[in-house]
Amino acid sequence: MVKNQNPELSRIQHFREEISEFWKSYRRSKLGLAGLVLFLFFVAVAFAAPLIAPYDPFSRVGPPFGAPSLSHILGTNDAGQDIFSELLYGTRTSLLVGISAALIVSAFGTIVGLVAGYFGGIIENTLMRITDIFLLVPDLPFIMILALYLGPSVWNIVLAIGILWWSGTARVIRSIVLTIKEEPFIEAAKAIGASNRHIMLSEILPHTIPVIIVGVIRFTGFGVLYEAGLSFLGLGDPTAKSWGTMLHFAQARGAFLRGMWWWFFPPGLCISLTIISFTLISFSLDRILNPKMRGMGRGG
Amino acid sequence: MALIEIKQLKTSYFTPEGTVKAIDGVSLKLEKGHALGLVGESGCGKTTVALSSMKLLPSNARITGGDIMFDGENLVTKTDEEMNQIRWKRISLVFQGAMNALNPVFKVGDQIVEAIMTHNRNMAKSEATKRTRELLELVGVDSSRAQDYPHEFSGGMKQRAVIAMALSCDPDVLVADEPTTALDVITQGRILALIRELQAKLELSLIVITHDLSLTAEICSEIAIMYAAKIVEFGKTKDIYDEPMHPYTNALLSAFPSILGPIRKMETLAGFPPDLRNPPSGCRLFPRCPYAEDRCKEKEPELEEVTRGHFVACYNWGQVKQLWKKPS
Amino acid sequence: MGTASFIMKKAVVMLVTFYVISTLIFLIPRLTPVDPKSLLADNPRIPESIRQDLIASFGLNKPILDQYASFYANLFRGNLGYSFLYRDPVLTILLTRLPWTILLLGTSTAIFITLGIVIGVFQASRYGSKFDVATLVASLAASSFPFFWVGMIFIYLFAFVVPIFPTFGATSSGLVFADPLDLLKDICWHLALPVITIVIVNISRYSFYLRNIMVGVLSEDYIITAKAKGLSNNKVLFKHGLRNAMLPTMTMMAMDFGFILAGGIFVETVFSYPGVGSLAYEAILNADYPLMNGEFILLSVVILVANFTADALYSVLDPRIRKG
Repeated sequence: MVKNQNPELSRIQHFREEISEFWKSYRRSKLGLAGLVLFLFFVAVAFAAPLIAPYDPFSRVGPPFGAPSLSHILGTNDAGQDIFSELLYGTRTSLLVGISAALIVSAFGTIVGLVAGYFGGIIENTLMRITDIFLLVPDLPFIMILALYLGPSVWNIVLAIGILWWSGTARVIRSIVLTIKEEPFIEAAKAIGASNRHIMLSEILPHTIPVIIVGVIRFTGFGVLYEAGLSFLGLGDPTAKSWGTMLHFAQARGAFLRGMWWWFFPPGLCISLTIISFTLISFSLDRILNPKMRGMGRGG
Repeated sequence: MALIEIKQLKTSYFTPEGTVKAIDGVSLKLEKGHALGLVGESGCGKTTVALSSMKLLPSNARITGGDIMFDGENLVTKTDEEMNQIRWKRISLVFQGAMNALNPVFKVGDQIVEAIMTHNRNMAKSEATKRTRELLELVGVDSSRAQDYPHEFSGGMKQRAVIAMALSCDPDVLVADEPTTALDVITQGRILALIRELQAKLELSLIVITHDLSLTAEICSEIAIMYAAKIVEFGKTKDIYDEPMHPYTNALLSAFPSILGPIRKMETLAGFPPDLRNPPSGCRLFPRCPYAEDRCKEKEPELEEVTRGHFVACYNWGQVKQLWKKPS
Repeated sequence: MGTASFIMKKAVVMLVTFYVISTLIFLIPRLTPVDPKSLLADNPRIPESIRQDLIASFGLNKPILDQYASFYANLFRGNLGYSFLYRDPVLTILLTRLPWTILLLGTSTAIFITLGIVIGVFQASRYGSKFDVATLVASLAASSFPFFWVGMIFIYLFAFVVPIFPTFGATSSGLVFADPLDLLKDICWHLALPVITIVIVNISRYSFYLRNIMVGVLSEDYIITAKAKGLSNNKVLFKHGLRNAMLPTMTMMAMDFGFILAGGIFVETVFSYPGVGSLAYEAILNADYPLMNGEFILLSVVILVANFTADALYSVLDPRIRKG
């Protein structure tokens, strides 16, 4: 074993080894790989949408309620727009909302959880009481109310989701912090005079990263689901193209009464597949990273 | 005829990381009324022997060879239903870490009653309850505690309750896996005394599985030493202690500092047991054995009876026997 | 600790949460730049006399603290305002439609919990087998389907392709049933598709939780001991295993009430089922603020009661809490 002069270098090397170890175990999970492939597929579509889409989804390019044909693979909607192009562009909105919401939720939840777990006492109690309350608020009705008062927009959805779902993450992060707090290396860090901020960020936070990552992935899936749901209910931005708004118009303009299954089936399928991919990935990650953790509460 | 005779038993665990041959040709004998100690370090396969004998292996494990003769019948070929007639009624099990052997959501007494009623379908519940109370008193637990839940019992009490439960159907054989490991020293002594007392009173045959050799000196009439999925030495307790013939047994005995006798340097074996997914072809102790020779690496020594009732699996047993300095 | 103090603590949390939620509902309309009067009372569809009533009882012309007091006074009197859309007191509308939602969600929940338990238990007992993996993937997939999409598919199939089940409403409109049994049949017929939709999506969440917890439980020593005692496989699984797995599963389920409710809202909307879920949709579509506010309070109460019941049940069932 080579004696390492530079501790930073060995940390990086250690990190690299951990990553390759991790990838080896992940590779073994067929379900996890399937999920990853599916996810990457949708990300690729989101990026490549302008290149692949045959038409501009916002322009009227055909007759309304058109059936699938050679020029319109999935037909046209009530405004004569190409459904297939809508589907491709919709990938962007849906994924964007999902990931944004997940990041906000995880960031905020982690901060709260770290602070609550580390400082304990009154701070912890107060924060946890607040968390308890937020956990009990019924999510969809609350998001609906916010959307109603704030107006229909994609970012309002992200905001509304963020306001509610951080509580589950905070809970989980806090419990991890509590278990780590008692470890000797934390006491050692305190003994050498490390600041609270340093301890929280450099010593404790790294241990929570696996859980955070699993959380981000799961919440992205739910974010996509809720965006779709809210857009479907008419609370999203009706001018934006997302899978949810497609379904909203499909229902509102009577797609199934006209038998236009090509209008409502594909968007829902895409939503399902996206969420399935996130579920599979987080399921496999969870198994590898956190053999003991079981679910993260809020967000379903 | 021996009460239990295990012949060349093989059990494997099938895991995604490979097939682990947890037991690879183990032979043992338990005479009626005797207490057999099965000694070895963690991972050597001794708990697997216990689980195999009652066909309680998890779904990813299987007996892959050999016989388990119990009172003339071969248990390996029995179906699960047939085993249910034998389990508890004729062979019962006390687990390592009795803390978890009791289901936390049922009262202690109810769990013992359940055991009794499973094998005595015509018995009235009141009679089973009465017997439960008697059993608890027998092991030194106040019978009124039958109404309590496991989390209300102390560690020692739980161990006693589990022993009571194991005896509830008057089994012929009791298998105790690490009966005292999770307990403090004083409680250990008490439980040992209890087991000795019960053995005498009920004419119980025992198999005691442990990593603690000194435990076997207290209770067992015979000892089997297990290493890396195989039995390396087997004989009467006195013989093992007076004249150990296998280098591993030697090392186990030497690992105990003795209060009596001259001050001796503690000898331990360097290295680790082999990976049971890919066991070596020769003797499994080869890399660590101070007496190792070339022939040890080429062909594995068989377990042979070298003096009356004393079996060993080593080519150099004579040397080991000679060089053993018994602490006076 | 004991059951009693545990339940009391939970009750306090519920009450505080209700207070926070109701205060939120009070604040939100008053934080917008728009005059709360126009959101809550000024609407051409409301008769003038009632409008004056609302302004008076809610103190809409008075300072905010007075309004706060009036808000709660009205809340406890059951006055949740007046709906623009239906021209009726909000509470009346809610109470008319609530039973349908309870019927729908109650039936669905009972079904998917039962099926979920059975599936979860068998998956756990055959952990890692083909059966387990196949049903696991199928159920993970099913839990990813959006409720409203599954509903839409069913509507398409059964309204367009093969009309067996009715696709909207709770009962056939315009029909009068002489025989109550016929009415029951009609209701069930209308319930079928919505219930199936909810069950399909939810069943897997429950079976997944249970499966994972069961696998952990089944590796415990007391399970091997139970098998060693000679108990039959079913007894070991259901009596010893399930009993221990139910408690933590219930805790996880309780966190899911929000999701079940959300599912109810989507399914009711798609199937035009006259419960409080579709009511929310109508309220938003028509910008009926009082109705939506009242709806939110009601749904919050429902969730709180559900959570509280789950906690109370849990404390009774777990001997570790019961006996302290």
